[in-house]
Amino acid sequence: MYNKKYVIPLILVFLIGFFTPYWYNAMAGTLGHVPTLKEPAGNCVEDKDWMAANHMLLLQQWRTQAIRHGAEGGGIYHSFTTGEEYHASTNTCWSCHDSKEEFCDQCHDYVGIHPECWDCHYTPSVEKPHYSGIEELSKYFS
Amino acid sequence: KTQFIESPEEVREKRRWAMAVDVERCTQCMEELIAKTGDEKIKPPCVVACDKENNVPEFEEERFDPQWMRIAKLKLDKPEVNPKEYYIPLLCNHCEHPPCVQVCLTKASFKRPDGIVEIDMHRCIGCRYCMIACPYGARCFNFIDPREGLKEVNPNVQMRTEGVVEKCTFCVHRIDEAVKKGEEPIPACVEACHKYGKGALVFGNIKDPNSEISKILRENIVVQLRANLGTDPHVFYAKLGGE
Ligand code: SF4
Ligand code: SF4
Ligand code: SF4
Ligand code: SF4
Repeated sequence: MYNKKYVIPLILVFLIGFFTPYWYNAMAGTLGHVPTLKEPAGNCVEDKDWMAANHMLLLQQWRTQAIRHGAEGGGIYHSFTTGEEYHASTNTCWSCHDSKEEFCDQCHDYVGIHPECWDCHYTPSVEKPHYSGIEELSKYFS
Repeated sequence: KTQFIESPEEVREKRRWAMAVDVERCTQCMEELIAKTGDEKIKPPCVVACDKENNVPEFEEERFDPQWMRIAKLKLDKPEVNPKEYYIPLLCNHCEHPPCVQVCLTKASFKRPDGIVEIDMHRCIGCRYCMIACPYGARCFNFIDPREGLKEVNPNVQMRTEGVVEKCTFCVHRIDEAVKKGEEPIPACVEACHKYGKGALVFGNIKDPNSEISKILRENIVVQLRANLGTDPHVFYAKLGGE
């Protein structure tokens, strides 16, 4: 769908598994909350630690460039970690993360920051069938 | 600092999207649909495609039901000369000098270098000033959460939220995708029109002299809606009044 061929899921799974004990020990006695993150299905557009700290800035930048500079190619994002091109859209996120409840909400609910992204943008938790394209209209017109 | 593929000046030089409508075919299309279904308010393929492609919700009560594309029935001002009634599709004209952009106090409404007039939903406060300013009635307001009116969803287009203004975008998500691939963009309504309708809609780049729409504009007498206002709309209507 969106450059999935560049996904290296095994590396990320390994990283998550390796560092889980450190996360648990670091957070268990301090924050009081250890997020149970569902493992994503691939590699992220940027470094994981960078994303944990800066994902909101990245999304803000994507928002501005995709809308305000869409005609100039603003919808294309060049990753400074992988050097690859991605589509600057939240759908790029859902190509790896397939559950908002098991990923985004784990941290956001705890810290009480409710992103307004999902007031408009699609998430997998929208339980409605997907529009499949122009062929679907054949049941009305033919 | 991100560098984009093209500068606004380059885009302005190369691309200006516009749409041409063959009114004769639209009228024929609507007349056949009405004859077949008996429903004067039947939605033709172009409108249905627009609604589904762009997550335009549907509500029972008309005043709460936003619509990006509508079919208007009109008669000419001298019925004694030509008594025929016509059906024409109405969508945002993506004006060269859009009054809606001028009045938008948050600058949520803006005009891209390729001529598309878009609304940045993140900024819109829903004051509806642009609806007053638009001389074509192209904009509508979300009184109700749009998700309640959607039976199915297109993940590639945001669903919007209660309290913002929305309108036709010329299917900007399709345009940007096609431009990236070097293909000719086709909005959803145009695609549906050619597949299930009478092929009345033509979309293209009027800065390209070889494009189909440029040829149509050269060879036909076309009408712009309310041309005297100086907005310079970029939806052109051909074959009005019969030829
Ligand atoms: S489907 Fe095409 S021919 Fe029919 S009303 Fe719409 S634009 Fe006109
Ligand atoms: S038709 Fe109305 S909404 Fe569309 S660009 Fe012109 S003034 Fe703005
Ligand atoms: S309703 Fe939204 S787009 Fe229209 S003028 Fe107000 S802020 Fe701008
Ligand atoms: S160009 Fe796209 S948004 Fe505009 S009327 Fe056609 S389908 Fe709807």
